[in-house]
Amino acid sequence: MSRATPGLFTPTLSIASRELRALLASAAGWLVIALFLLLAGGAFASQALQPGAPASMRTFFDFAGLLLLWMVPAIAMRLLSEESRAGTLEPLVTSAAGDAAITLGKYLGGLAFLAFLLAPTLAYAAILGSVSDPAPDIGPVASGYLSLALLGATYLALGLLASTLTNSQTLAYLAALLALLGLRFLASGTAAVPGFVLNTARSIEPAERARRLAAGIVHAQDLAYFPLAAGLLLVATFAVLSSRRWR
Amino acid sequence: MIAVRKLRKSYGVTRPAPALRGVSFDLPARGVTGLLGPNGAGKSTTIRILTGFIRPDDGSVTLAGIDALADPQTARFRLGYLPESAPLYPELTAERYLRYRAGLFGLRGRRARDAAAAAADRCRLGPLRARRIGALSKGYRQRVGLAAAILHDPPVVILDEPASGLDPAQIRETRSMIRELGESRTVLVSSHLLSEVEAGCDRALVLTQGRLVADGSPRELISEHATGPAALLVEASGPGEPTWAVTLRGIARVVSEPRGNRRWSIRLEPSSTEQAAGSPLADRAARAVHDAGWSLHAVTPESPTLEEVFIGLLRNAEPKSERGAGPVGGDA
Repeated sequence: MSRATPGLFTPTLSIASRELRALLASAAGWLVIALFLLLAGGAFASQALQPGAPASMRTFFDFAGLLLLWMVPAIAMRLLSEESRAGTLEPLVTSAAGDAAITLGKYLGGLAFLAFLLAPTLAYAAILGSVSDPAPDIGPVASGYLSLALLGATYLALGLLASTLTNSQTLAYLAALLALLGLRFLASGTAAVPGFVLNTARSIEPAERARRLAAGIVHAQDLAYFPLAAGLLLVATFAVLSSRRWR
Repeated sequence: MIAVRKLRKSYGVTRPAPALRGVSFDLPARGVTGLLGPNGAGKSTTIRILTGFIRPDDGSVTLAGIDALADPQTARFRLGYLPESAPLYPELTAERYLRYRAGLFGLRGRRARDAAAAAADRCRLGPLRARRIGALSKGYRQRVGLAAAILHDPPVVILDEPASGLDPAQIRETRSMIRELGESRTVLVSSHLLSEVEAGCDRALVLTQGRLVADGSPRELISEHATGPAALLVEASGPGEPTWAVTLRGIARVVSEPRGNRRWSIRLEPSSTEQAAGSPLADRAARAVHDAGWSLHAVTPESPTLEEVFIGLLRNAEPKSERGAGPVGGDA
């Protein structure tokens, strides 16, 4: 071996590709895809395809965002906790890949699966376009898909962090789901909480920002929020993974 | 090639339990070294520190000239590791898994395929490399793990219980592969199978209670630490059965076997090492044969095995440390 380290790119790609294969080889992966497409398709058909209804996918995007809240933690739960449980974490972290490549590779693998999940729903836009007159504006459809992608990517980063903290997939799923539901509840204003808690919850809660984006209201702040939130969560994942060596 | 200095590690925060108490050793650039010890001796902790899975509280580790604690990623690049029970991904084929592992070491495209193919050939995976890992036998899964450990051609290879759960034929095959690896690199093998270490290792390190209590070739360990022969084999002939051997039962376990033509082989296993150390048992056996009117043909001492030496070392480890006897390679 002439080189001292393998760099970041190849190990990251290798991990991401294996992760996608593992998700597509698992029954849980296909169950998530099937459920998502069934429920999201049902929502699309029952609301956007009604005679006289506006040529908009807004309702679909809102509902799909809600589905992602429940389903992305299910995609993310196995990313690292399964490696821990099965004992494959040891050969992985003792390889030359490094914790940064492991974190990024796992995340990218999850993102690729998310793309796999969302891609078939582009057919809904095509169907709407073919049955509506006038055809729906491309702008809101594009921003709607962007909102779903950004929302899913943020949820995935949180789910990956939860998966790093435990070797139980169930616990990882519940931790991510409860964090997202708790944040949503606090941000909704229905709980009697001090003002600063409400403001903080609203500033870090992603769903409302995604909803604005899906409605075509594009704020730079909202666009910056998603990569920043996902980035911070990935840094936290990297830190937890690295700290394991000190235990 | 591996230099370990005063390695210490404790687990727990409120009441830290020491797992390693100042372990030091050096391994040369070639050869197979066995790491022995009972459960809880610190073998896994040592291996996990060497492979960078955990960090020690104190001490230093140098792998192939790289400070493994200061520059762990570069050190891991020079290390091949097969953890106990070879954890793999069952949904992948062996070939796909090896290419995935090649990617972790920065190899892609044709280089990854070539490295995977070379490692698979070296570990004699044959046509089974195209089969899903989940459908392979334990022995073949172990080979896949071994191939994954060496595919980036590391100068240091660490194998944790590589023969665990294998049948005798698979153990022999694994031993031969490890031997081949040891011809060109440093191989450290943790094992519970003392016979394996005796047969397949050039050198053995014995850990107990977090200390290194012995270090040498299996032959050296036996000659240095054995306190006497493991047993005496008495060849004698006479009328009837060797009932005279009953008189030796107080000091030895007696197993008699007829050899035909009034000849018997009587194996005497001393009930304590002290009795075996000198000649009293041989003298008493000879006297008993003579008193019974039998003819004595031979008295042959049987050398102790590494297992017997190992058990003796474990038995002696605690009193020695309490008396402050300095363990080999340890500073505790």
